[in-house]
Amino acid sequence: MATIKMNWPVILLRNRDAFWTAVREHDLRWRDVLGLALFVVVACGLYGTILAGWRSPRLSIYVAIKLPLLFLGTAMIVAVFNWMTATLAGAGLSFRASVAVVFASMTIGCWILLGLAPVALFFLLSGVSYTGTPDDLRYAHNLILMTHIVILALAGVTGNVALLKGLRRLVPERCPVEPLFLSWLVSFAFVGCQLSWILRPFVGSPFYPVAFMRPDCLDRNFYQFVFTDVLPYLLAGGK
Amino acid sequence: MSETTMPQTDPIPAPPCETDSGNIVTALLKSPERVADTIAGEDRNLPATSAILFAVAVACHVVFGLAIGLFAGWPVAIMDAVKAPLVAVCSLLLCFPSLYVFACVAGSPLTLALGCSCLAMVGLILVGLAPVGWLFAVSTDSVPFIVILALILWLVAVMFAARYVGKLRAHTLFQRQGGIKLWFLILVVVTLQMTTCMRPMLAKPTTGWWTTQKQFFLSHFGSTL
Repeated sequence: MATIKMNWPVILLRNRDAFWTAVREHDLRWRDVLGLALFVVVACGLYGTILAGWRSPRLSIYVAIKLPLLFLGTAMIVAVFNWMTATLAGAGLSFRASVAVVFASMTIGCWILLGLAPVALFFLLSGVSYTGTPDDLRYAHNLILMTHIVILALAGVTGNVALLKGLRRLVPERCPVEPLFLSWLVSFAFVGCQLSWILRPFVGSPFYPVAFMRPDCLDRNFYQFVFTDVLPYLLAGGK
Repeated sequence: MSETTMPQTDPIPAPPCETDSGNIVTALLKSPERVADTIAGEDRNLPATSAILFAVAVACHVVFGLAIGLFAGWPVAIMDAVKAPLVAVCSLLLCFPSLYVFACVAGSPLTLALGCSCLAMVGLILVGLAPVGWLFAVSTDSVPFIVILALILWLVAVMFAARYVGKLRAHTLFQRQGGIKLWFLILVVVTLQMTTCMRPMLAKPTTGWWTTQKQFFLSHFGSTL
């Protein structure tokens, strides 16, 4: 029976060259890709528990399920598009290789999340309180939201830098690496924003009840919200 | 013709092993490359070296805590002599996983010994600045002033530690350091939050040495200053 090789995440952390070599030489199997996906599930699940920890244990469990779903779901939705653009650009990547490369960058981002999880937990336990006036709660919510945005952004940037470096190692010279990377990044961000909108809440506003998903999650999309609510508010000077 | 004999030269002595506390402290200040050699060598003396660096770091923070704590008298000085090393050690422990991951991602496997050497460097600079801290601590009664002074002295020490890590680039193992400067920023933020968590630091404790009230460091420093 084929076993899932679980040490690729560790190899990616300590010796990424070995991973890129394995991808280039078609040594990576689907079970290895599954191993990376499992690592993403565990790491995101752990971080998700901390992410919503300030609001309620129930939301913690929900987010521990939803955060891996968000990352893996986004990767799956854009997987075919990524493979097609890579093929059109002459990258010479198989479908499996294109999925593996994206999961590899996610794995590196997840290592950053794991590394910063004690810091996030410490801020959660020592810096924010789920008691006080509505203003106190709003302050605590915004604070914890900003902390997680910074940590997730750091993980995202590190993962994407690794992805760009990996693509440079993998594709032939004639393939335009930067436009290919940019198209992958834009498609991931475009889909990821909408999926996170559907799967909200993540941090958990103190003014809404705890729920796995909001009842109106499919009523509008993220971009409608930005263009009809956020932008007019900003253009009116926050009034 | 008489046969000339080549003078016998002594073999080049091996570099001294950095397990003596005096040697390691001197090396940390004068030639960090030697400390890097010891750390990178991963010889059997590495745990002893790490322990010495850790002990030096703790002792130095005790001295700094004592000096700054004299601002509010001996009871606060004793409390700070305990809390200052605790803040430093707990912050490093919390940030060590991220240091390890950042270093690995950059391609330079760092060890606990390097973390201890960073902490020892911060401590040594703080000891050097402790007389300055003490002088101002005993000659002012302004809390905002002493808070800002302590913050500046500590930031100077952290900058020296960051510079020390930069100097380790001379060693092949530590050449790639992408993200380490960013890690220092994380360490600074975590240490500020740890200080808030362990408050009161510079005021006479009214209800004991520790507090259970949660507070974010920006809000705490805002109310103090």
